[in-house]
Amino acid sequence: MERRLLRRWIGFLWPLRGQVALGLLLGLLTVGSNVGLLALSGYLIAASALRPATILLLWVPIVGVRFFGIARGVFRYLERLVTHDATLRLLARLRVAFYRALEPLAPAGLGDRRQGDLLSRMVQDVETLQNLFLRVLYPPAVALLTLGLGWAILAPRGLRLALAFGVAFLLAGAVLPALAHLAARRPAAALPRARGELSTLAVDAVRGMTELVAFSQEAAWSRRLAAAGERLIRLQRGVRRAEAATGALLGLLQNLAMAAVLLLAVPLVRQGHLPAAEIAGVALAALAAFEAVAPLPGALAGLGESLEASRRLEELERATPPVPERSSGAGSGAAPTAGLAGSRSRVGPARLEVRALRYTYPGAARPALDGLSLVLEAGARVALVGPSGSGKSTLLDLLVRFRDPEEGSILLDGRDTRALDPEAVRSFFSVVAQESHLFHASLGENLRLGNPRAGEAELREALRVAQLEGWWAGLAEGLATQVGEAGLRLSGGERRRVAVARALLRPAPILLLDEPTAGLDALTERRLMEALLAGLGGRSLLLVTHRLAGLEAMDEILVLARGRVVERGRHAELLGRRGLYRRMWELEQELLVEEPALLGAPGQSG
Amino acid sequence: MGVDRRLIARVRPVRHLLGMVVVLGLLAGLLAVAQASLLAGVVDRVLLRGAGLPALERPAAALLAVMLARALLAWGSELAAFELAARVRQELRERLARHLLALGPARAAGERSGELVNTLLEGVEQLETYLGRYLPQLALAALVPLVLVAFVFPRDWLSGVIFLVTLPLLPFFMWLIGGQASLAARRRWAELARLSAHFLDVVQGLPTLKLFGLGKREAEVVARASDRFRGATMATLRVAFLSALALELLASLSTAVVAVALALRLLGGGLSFREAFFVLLLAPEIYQPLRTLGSQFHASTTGAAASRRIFELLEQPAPWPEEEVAVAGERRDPAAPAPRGPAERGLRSEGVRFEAVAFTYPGAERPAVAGLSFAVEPGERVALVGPTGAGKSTVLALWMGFLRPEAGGVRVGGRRLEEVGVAAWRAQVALVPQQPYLFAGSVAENLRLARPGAGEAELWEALRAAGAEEFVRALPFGLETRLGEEGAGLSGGERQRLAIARAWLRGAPWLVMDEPTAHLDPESEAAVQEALARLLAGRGALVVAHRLATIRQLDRILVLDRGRLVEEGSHEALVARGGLYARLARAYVGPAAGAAARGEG
Repeated sequence: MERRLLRRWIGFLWPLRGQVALGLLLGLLTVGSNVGLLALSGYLIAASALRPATILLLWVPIVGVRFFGIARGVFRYLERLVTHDATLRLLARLRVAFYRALEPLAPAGLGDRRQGDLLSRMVQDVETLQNLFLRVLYPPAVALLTLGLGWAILAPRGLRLALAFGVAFLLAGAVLPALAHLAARRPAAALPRARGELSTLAVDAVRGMTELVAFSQEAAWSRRLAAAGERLIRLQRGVRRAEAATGALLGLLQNLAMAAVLLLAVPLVRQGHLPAAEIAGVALAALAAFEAVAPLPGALAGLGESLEASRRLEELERATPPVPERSSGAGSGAAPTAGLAGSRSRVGPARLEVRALRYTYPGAARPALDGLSLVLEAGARVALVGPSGSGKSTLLDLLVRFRDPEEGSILLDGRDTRALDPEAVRSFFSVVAQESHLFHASLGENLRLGNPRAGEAELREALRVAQLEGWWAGLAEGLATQVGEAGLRLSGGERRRVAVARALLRPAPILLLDEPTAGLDALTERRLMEALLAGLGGRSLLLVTHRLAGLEAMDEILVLARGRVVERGRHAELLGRRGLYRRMWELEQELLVEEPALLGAPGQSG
Repeated sequence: MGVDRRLIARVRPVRHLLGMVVVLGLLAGLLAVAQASLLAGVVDRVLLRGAGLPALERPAAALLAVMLARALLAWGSELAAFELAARVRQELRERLARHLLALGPARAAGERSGELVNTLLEGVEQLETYLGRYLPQLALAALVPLVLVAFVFPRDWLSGVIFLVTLPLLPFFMWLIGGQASLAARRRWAELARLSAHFLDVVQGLPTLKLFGLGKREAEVVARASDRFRGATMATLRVAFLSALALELLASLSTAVVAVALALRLLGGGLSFREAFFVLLLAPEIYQPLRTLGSQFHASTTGAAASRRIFELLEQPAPWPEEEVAVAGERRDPAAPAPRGPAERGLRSEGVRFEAVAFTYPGAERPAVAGLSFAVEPGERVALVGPTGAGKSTVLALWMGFLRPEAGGVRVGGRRLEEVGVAAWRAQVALVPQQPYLFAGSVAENLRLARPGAGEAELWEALRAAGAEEFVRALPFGLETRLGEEGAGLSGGERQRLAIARAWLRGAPWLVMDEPTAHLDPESEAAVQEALARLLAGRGALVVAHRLATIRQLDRILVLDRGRLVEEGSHEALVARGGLYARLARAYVGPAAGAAARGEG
């Protein structure tokens, strides 16, 4: 499992291999300069103390000491730039990979995955994984190279010196980190979850602030947040304890290695195998080489965190999208728009036919849609009404292929949509969904999502139909006005109408509007519906609504209850039938009747 | 490079830990001197006196002891440093959360929620390195080198002078380049916060992006944003690493210079090997504390930027003194949400009075509400009506104490809201917001927010009253069903009814509602209206209403226009008057008549 994950991330690094190799070389040169500086300094002083025959013998070490003194800083600087740049490139790749994994899942495949958790995943896991290179993979590689360097210096002078150094180096570089990893494994693995919990509480605190303050839960919620913070710190403490112990033991091993090399060199000097002047140098070389070991315990501790994060990321990547990304076989190439990129929408009329659709949400007891059929001829207007939970929004999800039906089929111009790429299917529709999102960008940018090539005149016309002309004219910055996060600088009604304007701009043959006037005052609602119907052009309209007023203009009205069409017909027919539609209509009329004179119809005031 | 004074104030309660870290560090420095001295002695004997291993047993044992002691000290100081940072972080996180809540929904709405969340999480976490490593290291970097140099002078004054001259150059370089780096770090922090806000935005908007065929393409936008971030960060790092380069260069070059100088004087015979080697061994130790400090400089500027953002938030004035809100909220017995002290009796008998209230949002051109006066008697139900932007939400926020009037005042129970205490007042009000927020947790937990001690029977009673019993029973785990952050799985009407149940549980004499029937279909609307009627019975209420069905349940209508009260009275009276309200009310009938004409035509 872990090996497979590691292979995956090495795969991520492969395109950066040039930078990685350069970084490794610079890493070795940096440590090597330190070794050279200290070892040569030690040798220089010892040799001087022994009063060489001529000072010329000291020229080489003197020049070497000066060279390494300068080179070390320069190599370190370059190494850091190269490795950090590689890390940030990796980060960008990870982010995009994560987004690409998420994209096919939204919205139906995300289920109840919580948003705060998502945020935490995106920022934390991805940022944890960026360390996979700099903190986890890079240090051991440099350490290995350094071990080779140390061995190359010491072995010719005495195998015992090299062995003592090698054993201490491996103890400090491999055994110690492994022990530390074991000690910190549990808290480290639990860290991302603890962060996720804290993040969920923080998101709730910020977004649910109205309720928290109104219910005087400020102190209680701060305490919950503090408790979650405390849990996080407890885990961090566990990790840090292991880190502190390894850090201390590492320093000890470094000193011991130096002492061991020094003491083992003593007999070699006495036996004449080693020039006395070199004894200080070899000891200091061993000491300096340990610089490469210092980041290793951190590397292994980071490995636990990285594996956990990449596991969670992979879990997301492996989730099955609710709708297969590529059309299965048949007419993928034949579809007129299938190959076209993104925002291009289909121009020209289209006929929509829905046959006996059935859909059941996972875990639900009864189907949300149960044998629904309808035909929307090119240019026709059909309304879908019914109580909440009757399956209206489910139908829209199926039409745009956020989900696929378990039975039945959807035909666009006679072609089964399951044979089309989901993006091609969406190119037929322009949608105002119940949760139409405005992006944290300017008004103009939000509108141009509907049609990137729309000119200002077109934007203005769409705003006019959406009853936003007056509002827009009053904006100091006009189309450049920032709408705020999720459009929250606008009122609910303004957001809704911007979404309508955006949908109108999209030159798709079929408009799907899910409660386009929700949250609007009655006057604006009426004007918007009138302007909308007048401005349809040749487009067909499928209107999902709970407002029955205005449905007289519809070619057909389908009344949905519990996933089935219980009545269908034109407004007048349905009113005459005295069924569910009539009851809903009376309820709606009743809502308005306080003042019979205003309505022109007999009202029963409660 | 200076440490934020506000942050220092937060460290004060844990200064003993800081002291401990510094003392342990100093002791470790002294042990480094001992180790160098012992090592120099050993090498000296081997090199110049031809000593063998047996003669070195005692210094070797001493060396071992010193090395062990150093390891112990390093371990202890790490742990103390972690505790230091942990306690400050924990204290700051709680304080920040409390303060954000004290700023309240109306004020915090001005900030991007993603950024606030990021500050609360990442911002506080960034202080870990800053407090736990950088701060103690700052003290050690100032002390340890001087102590060590003091041991060098008696042995070789020339090396001592070299150290003394080069040492101050290190902080000088850090300061010189650090200014640049900290500026860039602030940019990087802003970029990171923006990036995370951008991500949340993209994730939330993914369905919309897909509907517009932009889902795939957005990956490029994410890539571009990450790339911009890389550009900004690398620019920071190129400068930030320069200071590290200067430090490394100075430290290793000085070591080289000292080594060569020692060698030349050894040749001249003015120095013993033992002294020279001792000084050489100490050289790296002398520069080490400053180099460590330099390596933490980058992290420290990030931490400083984060702490600036945290204190910026903490220093925003809350509408009410925090103690007042928190203390009154705490004092309340959770099981009895509507206590009946003398003040509360006043609230029941005298009602709520707005007296020439004015409020302007920061940065707004005209006041949201101006010269607004009205009174609501106990038990009276008042509708607040008006076109979009008339100031209805502001009135609700003022009523709830989310905002504080800049002129005029709100009186409750005959006393100024300031005297009553905003938490005591809020305990008298149940709120049903326009878009009720459902928290991560079960249905029961969401309900108990309104009354923490409520038993299960009370919860069901409230659900029944809110017309929510049926659908909650149908949920897979009933009361224990977990709700998503956005209340996933519930329809708008169901969420609204949960909010009504919450208000019911509150058992408060006042009710405040914002467009309670928006976004509902007629059937849900009927259910909500019924629930509302039950909730309204026996309570005073202020209801922002867009629908006649709601207005009809209320006693009196206040009509707002551009922040002012323009009409007031009963539905009949206002319709007869033919003013703004009449125009609004007539609009309800419009679509039926208008569309009917066209449909038939």
